[in-house]
Amino acid sequence: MKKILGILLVSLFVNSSFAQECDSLVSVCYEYLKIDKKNNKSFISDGQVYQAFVDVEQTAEFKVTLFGGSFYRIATTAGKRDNYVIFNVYDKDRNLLFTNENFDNKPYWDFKIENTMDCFVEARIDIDKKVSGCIVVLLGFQR
Amino acid sequence: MRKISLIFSLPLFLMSCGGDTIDVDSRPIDEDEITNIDEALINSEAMSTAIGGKIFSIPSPVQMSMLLKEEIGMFNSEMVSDPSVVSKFSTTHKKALNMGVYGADLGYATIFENNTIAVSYLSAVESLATDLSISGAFDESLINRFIKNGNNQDSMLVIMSDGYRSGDIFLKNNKQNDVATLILTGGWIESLYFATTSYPHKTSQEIANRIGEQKSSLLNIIELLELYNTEKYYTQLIEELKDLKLDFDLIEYTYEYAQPITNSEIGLTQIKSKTSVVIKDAVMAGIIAKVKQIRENIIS
Repeated sequence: MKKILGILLVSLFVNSSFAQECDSLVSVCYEYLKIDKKNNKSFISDGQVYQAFVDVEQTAEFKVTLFGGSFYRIATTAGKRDNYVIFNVYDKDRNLLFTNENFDNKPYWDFKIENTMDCFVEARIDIDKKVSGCIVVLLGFQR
Repeated sequence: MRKISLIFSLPLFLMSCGGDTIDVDSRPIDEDEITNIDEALINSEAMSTAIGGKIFSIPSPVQMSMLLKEEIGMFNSEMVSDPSVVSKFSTTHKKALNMGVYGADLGYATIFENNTIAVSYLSAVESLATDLSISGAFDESLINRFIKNGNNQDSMLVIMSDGYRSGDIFLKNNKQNDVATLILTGGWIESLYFATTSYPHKTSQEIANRIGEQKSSLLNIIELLELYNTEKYYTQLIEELKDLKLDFDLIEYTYEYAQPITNSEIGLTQIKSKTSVVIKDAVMAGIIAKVKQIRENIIS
């Protein structure tokens, strides 16, 4: 019983550290929504923060509806360097639409959506660069 | 490869939050068991930062307002809710739902450049945020920034989304995922109400499509609300949304994959897959009526 309590206390401390790590990463990630040299205006956040603690064998995934006629930016971060995260975008039938792995794990990418569609965004840590940690993904849009 | 969109550690959570009696297991603990518990706890944290083990995305109400500005072009003051009655919402779930509603109204007024009205919604949002203990998300400095940028719509929308993003992360970090979900639900219903109210005035195909395209969001919201309805506070809302889903089930959808085109120089991928939505008039009429009723129940 003492062992379990000890584990619970340690885990609570560790979990609190994770929350702090994630909080600081959100600010970093949010900066990626502000850089848009193409249109010289920021992407507007959808108001939600997608974050998860992942280890070497885990991926974080969320489903999103992307509306036709809109531009979106998917921004990611998992730490100090801007190439820790590999993210993939799939359509509902799991056809790969994009992976940043082909572009040196660039932390953000823009999408022009011609017709509204449901997509899956999958993010994981590049194990060649980092083993585990908090991943933050933000979604911004422009009309 | 494991995906974190699975529920991992419910039994452990139940154990830690259990009932009045505590069963002590005095068996020797083997190391494998310890490893499993520790992993489950870490995964539990991953879950809490998502929503109940699943990471969902609900579209921003601002996107609907942007479409309505393009398609209708005129502000409809009868369509938005009344910010002066903010104090009548007494329960946490009503406050959260109406914080979402007012947020959608705030976005709508901002898109249509009705800044005075927008500020009245921002004040209502700030009041509810304070009641919900997330006042840090909509504090005085945010409101001042919003007012100061009154001639820059893009900045106002960014500032507004800053507030909701801060609130979202605060609630999720503080295990108030239910409140975060209700805020998203209120905003989503209000924006859908904008579309269903506007459609009869101008039968735009774009608006009809956008209404039909809300099905995934509806399914996500039902699933999330069911997850958090432990106290049965919003059973009626869930039932109403399930009833609305019956109408959405009658919409015809098609999807055809097309190869995307990526321009690496500017960091842009064009998604060219084709989709279509077909909504029969009777189905649309049913959706319009049900959305109106659900929204009325939320704001009353």
